[in-house]
Amino acid sequence: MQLSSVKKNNTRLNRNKFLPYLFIAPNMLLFLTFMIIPIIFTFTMSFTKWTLIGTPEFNGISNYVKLLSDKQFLAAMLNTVYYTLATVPTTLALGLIGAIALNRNMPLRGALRGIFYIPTVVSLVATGLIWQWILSTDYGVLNYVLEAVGIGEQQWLTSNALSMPSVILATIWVRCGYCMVIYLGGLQGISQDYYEAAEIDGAGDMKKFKYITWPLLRSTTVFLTVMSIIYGFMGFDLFYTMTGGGPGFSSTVMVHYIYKQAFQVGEMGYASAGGVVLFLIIFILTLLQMKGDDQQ
Amino acid sequence: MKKKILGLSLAVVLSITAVLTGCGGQSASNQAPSNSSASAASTAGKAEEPVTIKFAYWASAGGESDAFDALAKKFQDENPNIKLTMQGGEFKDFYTKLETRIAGNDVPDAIRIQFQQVGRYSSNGVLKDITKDLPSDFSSDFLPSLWSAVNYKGATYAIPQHTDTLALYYNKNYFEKLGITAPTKLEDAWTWDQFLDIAKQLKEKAGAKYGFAYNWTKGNSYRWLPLLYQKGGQLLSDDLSTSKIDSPEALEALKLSKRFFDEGLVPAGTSVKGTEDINTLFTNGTVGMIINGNWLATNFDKNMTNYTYGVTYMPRDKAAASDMGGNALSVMNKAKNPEQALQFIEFMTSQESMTYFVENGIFLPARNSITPEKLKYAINQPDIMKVFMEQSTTVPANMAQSVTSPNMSKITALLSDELDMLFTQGKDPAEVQKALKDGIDAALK
Repeated sequence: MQLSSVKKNNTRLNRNKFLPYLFIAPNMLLFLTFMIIPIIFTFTMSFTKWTLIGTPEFNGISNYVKLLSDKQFLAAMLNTVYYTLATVPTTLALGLIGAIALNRNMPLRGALRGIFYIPTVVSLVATGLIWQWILSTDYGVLNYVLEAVGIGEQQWLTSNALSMPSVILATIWVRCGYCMVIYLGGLQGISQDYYEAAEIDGAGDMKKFKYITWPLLRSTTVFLTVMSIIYGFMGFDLFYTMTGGGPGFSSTVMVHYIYKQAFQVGEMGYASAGGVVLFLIIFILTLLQMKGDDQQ
Repeated sequence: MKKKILGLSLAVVLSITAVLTGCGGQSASNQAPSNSSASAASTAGKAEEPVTIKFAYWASAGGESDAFDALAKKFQDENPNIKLTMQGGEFKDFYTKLETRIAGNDVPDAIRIQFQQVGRYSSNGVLKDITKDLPSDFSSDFLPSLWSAVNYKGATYAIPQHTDTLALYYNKNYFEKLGITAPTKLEDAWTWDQFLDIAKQLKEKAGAKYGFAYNWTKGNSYRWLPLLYQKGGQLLSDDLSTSKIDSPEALEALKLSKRFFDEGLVPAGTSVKGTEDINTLFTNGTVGMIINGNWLATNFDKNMTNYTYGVTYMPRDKAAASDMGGNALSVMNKAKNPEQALQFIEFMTSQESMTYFVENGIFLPARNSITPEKLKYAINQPDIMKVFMEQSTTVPANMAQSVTSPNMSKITALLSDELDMLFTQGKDPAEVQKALKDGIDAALK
């Protein structure tokens, strides 16, 4: 009798082992077709000279050699780092503040949560166009207001100093809601018992945040940091619509540069090499993040 | 250990997702709406199975798009044995889409193509050589510069559908205020010095914030070339093998265009990489003049509510010159039904179809036999089209050949980078010239 029950358990266990794979199969199939295969293809193409039409010619590592001495690519890398460093902490901080504010009982809470999340759902090209209209030097709403209050017109999208901050501003607007929603989820996962216990011990709001909320949100913060860094390195649409990478190369980021090489210049092999470098950077950063998370 | 592997694989997955959603998502979302499979299925099984041809094109909403639809319907009615599938969309990323389709072996039978791209796609074997399929005197009615644009190494790869050119739109109210009358004859066109002087007056006395804008924004840097040819320079040598940008005339042209920005005569956002909507700047009176194409007349009719506009010729220097815009129609080398595809593009470029198309899209005809008197443009001031037509005769032959050479897209990308450095970063014109020379020669290799 005991034996048979063990056996029964085993078959259930085996079935359970098999079942999850069945569930993820459709997703994995799509993932393979649209992700894994193209990325292997990109790796292969990065060692060739190819213009999309015609047959690729193998040219060894010359694309990579050229890439390392390409000043525009290096400038694009620096711009990408600047963009990422500026957007990640700000969106996370604002998202957290928003989440804490909207985690309380207050009127219109649901509506406000929805409103803050809306920018995340809007297409990035549309967002870019909206911000282009707001920030335009000559017909933009913002300059109109600044003029009216006596500050005067600013070259938001058309000066080296302000073009990148302008895109960063638009990015913060887009990403805050996303961070807020993820943080809200994290906050709701923290048991109220901790706070009650802390109150009995006489802890104030700041102490509660420092010793309960922040440590318990750590995995959420790590997740958001990883996702936001990736998002920062993938920046393209907003740059494409708002600044066109200019003036000069002041707002040219890596993906934009890769896009230009691939579809404007027509150097697919070279662009693929740029894509591989981008992949490696994101890969290493993600790895470091996860390692750091493990050690804590 | 297990955790490490898990972490590693998660990292791989995350970074792959990142790279691919960025690079792959772009082209995937812009795929042409392909109705071909659906329409093929609906016709299958009938007794007489019509031949299907797919036509890939772009059209902006309004007159242009409607004209395509109307002509397609007419062709369909006249040729019941051919099933025509129209695969339209926006211009943005048309070539990205096309090349992706070619790489994926889903080739349309016929396409619309810019003159600037004919060289590139004939040299790499994408377009079909139709020299022998056309009657021997077929070319006689087409404008010579356009006919040379659709020929590559002595063979014909496309039929011109229409042309466009740039001229100077100006704000009539501002001009009246200043007491300026615009030239009415091509010979009397302003020189650049006269023009820049007027631009200054518009800014200082007429109430415009800036003198003018030039439509080379959003990376359309090849539209700078008329300035080069007006100075007497040229882009490529006559055999198209080397760059001619190292001439003193080219340096003059670079210096001239830099002045627009240095002297604040154009808004800073209208540089080559700029994203400002220059047409709005003109319709709301921010700029007093705009160098732009004929197809914008409907836009200005509709949106310029506080002012009226007029059109005069491009400023000139040693010579007059303007941009060669416009498109042609081609049969693809890998077309499944090349014969019917050719029949379709011949229909689209016939005298009758072309007349209908240019009248509705506000374009210029590519045939000599379609004279200005025969055309009824549906715009407020149809007479302005005569200015554009006259201006289009000033397209230099070397420029027409240079911009249609196979490497033009590389050269355009280079021009965008360098001109933007010149206009916005204070790069020295001589250095820009050297970078252009080296870059173009490298692209031609």
